[in-house]
Amino acid sequence: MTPSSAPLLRTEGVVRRYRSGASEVTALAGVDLEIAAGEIAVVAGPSGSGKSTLLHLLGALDAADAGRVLFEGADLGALAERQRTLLRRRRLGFVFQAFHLVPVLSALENVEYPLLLDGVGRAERRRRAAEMLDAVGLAARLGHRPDRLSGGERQRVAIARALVHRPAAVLADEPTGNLDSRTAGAVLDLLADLNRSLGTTFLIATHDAALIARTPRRIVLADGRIVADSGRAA
Amino acid sequence: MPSATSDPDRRRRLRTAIAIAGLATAPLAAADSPSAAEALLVATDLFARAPQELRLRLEVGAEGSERTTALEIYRRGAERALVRMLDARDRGKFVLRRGDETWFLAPGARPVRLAPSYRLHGGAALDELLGLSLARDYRIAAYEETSGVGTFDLEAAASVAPHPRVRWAVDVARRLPLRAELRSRDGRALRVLELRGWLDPRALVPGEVAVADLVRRGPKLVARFLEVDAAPLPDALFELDGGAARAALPDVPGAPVN
Amino acid sequence: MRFAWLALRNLARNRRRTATTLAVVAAGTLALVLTAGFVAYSFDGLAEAMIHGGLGHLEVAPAAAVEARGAAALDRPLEHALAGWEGLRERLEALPHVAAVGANLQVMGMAQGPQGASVSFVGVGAEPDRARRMGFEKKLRAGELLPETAPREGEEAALVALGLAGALGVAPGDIVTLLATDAGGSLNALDVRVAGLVTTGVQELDSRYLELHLAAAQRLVGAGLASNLLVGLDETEATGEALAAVRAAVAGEQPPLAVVPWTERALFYEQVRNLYRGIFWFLGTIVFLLVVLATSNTLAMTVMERMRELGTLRAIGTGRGQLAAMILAEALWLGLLGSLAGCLLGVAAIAGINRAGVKMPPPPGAVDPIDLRLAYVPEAFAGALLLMLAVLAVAALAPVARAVRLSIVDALGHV
Repeated sequence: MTPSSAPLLRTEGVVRRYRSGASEVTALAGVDLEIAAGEIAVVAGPSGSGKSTLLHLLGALDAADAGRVLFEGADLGALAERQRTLLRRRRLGFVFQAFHLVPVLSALENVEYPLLLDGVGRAERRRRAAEMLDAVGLAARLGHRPDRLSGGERQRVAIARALVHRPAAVLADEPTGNLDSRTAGAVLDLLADLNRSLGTTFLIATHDAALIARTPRRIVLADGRIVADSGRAA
Repeated sequence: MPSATSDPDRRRRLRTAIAIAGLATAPLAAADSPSAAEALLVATDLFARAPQELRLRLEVGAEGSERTTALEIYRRGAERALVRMLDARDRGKFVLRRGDETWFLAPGARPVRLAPSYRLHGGAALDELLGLSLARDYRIAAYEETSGVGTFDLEAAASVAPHPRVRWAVDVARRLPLRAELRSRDGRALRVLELRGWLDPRALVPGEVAVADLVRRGPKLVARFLEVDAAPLPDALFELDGGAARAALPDVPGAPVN
Repeated sequence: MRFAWLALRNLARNRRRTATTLAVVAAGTLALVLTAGFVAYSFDGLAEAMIHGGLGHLEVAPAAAVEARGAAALDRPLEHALAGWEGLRERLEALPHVAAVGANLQVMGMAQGPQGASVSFVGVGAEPDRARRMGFEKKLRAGELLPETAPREGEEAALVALGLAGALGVAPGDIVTLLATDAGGSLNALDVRVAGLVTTGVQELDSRYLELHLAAAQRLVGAGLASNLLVGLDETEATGEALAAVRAAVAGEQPPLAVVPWTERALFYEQVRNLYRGIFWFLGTIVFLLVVLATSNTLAMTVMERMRELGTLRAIGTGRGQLAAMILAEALWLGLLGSLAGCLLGVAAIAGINRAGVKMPPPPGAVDPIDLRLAYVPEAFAGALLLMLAVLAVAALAPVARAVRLSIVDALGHV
């Protein structure tokens, strides 16, 4: 799918600093970035380069110390907490390295959860969650709790959860970090499929070489700055 | 002041003062001699000069009230007395005094022993009507005389004496009692008996006794003696099991039947 | 509640901890329910004992007598006694809920035993047939009860309380002579045969009390008189209703009559009631604090342990209010389930204790040992349940505040 011209995500000179004991660490030191709707991109870079921080800012989980973060043209820093919550609930999806599924809920219930938050009726919720699990290849695992699923299956559930409410963008932080390479490959295939079939924008923070290699747009961070961006170069 | 007059010096000074004032003269001589005072007390004890056995009829009631209780008293000396209740609703009831004991006798009940302080209907104590036995139960703590009135301060000598102290005022010349103040151990006057007239002054049978209760206040209680006659009395009248003798007592003509 | 089911699921995470918390809540509930049951049974027992011990449900007495001594006084002065009360009694006995109306004549004076011992007594002349219909209970310890028919003259009998009988040195069959002042102020005496020995249940009263047939008491202190009329009802709950009816029925009587409910006469009952209430509230407060302490710690731990998960839930769009509701719902489930369990245990415990028939020593001043029995008090069950919900809500405050304030990024990084 061809990225449209208007950027879905955009950062302008974003700076984020953390206090770490007595010293101050600059996680992001002025990042300018645009991600178009429908794009699939990886953010690469060594540990501590600011990948996660960038994702947190783009996902309205954290606020920048300087610069602006825009989602669909809206300045996230200017939104109220409640609006940010609604944005995360309706327009964004998250996938984490450690899956972070709710252990007491079945696969189906975990996927239903974002719909539950938004007040979608039970039958509709069930249907859409089942569909989504079917799409990630887990139609046979609906009733299983996370502890009965393999790592790959759990990540598929997490991906289904991130996509069930049809967000504009999914932010994935090391989604294959806890998976063996074969499983990781399958997960990547899935993400690519979903990007194509649903048009969802994916931004994936990773240092998985295989993943980086097969993704068209590669943004490389080092010491809080973008040192390479295949998209921008293109 | 009983205690003051028992002090010889004080008594002498008091007497001197009275003599100088030119007040009572002769009666003081009587006070000078204890035996004279004792003789006066004996001579003025109620019923002291009455026959040993006699019958009295009296009415007891609050002063100023129409309602009275009719009683008959059979008396044998100071030791025996039978009070017969004459009112219709009290028919058949008696109070019997045998020495220190007082009994209540009613139809349908065994004799019940009463406390010595028991008061008849109307509030009069038996000893207030039948004499206080002053000469027998009390000793003279002090005596003085003013204007022909002799005043005894008496203290209980016998354990049966119903009052710890009595102040007894008598007309010395006529040898008749005037009034009695029944007092507590600390000298507080509790009841006052006033002797208002005599049915038989020679026999010391009172005509009217008024009793004022200084503690409870209220109207005075008046006992009016209506009849007295000397008559020999059967022994059975004063026995606990003398019900038959008591039942045989004649009806009293003129007694109210309310 | 959208999060109720999720909250319920969350309780299953750490089953042992949840079970412990539920046990604490259940124990608190049980303590409240049992205490309330004990207190209620004691109240009821005390009330019934007083009513059927001779107080009756209502007393109709001359207003002047009630005024002279106060409503709570048990004795009504003879000078105010009722005469010609039979018609009134008939009207009162026709009222709804009225089981019977018994006339009483109170007497006091001296009693003299066969050996001459004399002791002051307080007594009451009553109507045994009415007393029976009012459900009055006599605690007979020897001999027999008074016959229901009025005694013939010379055949009067008495029930003498144990202490008085001891002081007089009498046993059933002996004659006691009673001396009293009648309504006119005259002294009167009456021989009565001791029919039986009784206890009033109160030591103090036992040393002075005796009971006669009304007719005998009237022979002693005044024909036709009654100190009061006691109204016995078919059920204690009807007291309020009957009070109004009897008041209406005696309105306009001359001399004026007062109607006094048993609660006003039993001053002692109100005192005991207040004491028990105080104890109950004190205990309730302690239970409240203990359960708050025990559960708030548990709830804090469940939040602490789930920081990363809570952060995730926030990240994927759970609002602060939703998160708070979820944690609160977990707490309320604990309160609900725990207190329901406590209620069930309470029902079982009450049944068990009541079946066991445990005896307790007599309370101060009383004569008989009392049964340890507990009542089922629906209000206490409901109240304990609500209290436990409140307790858990209070206990959840700090954890909820903590969850609401958490930084998502920090929580996601929380290990």
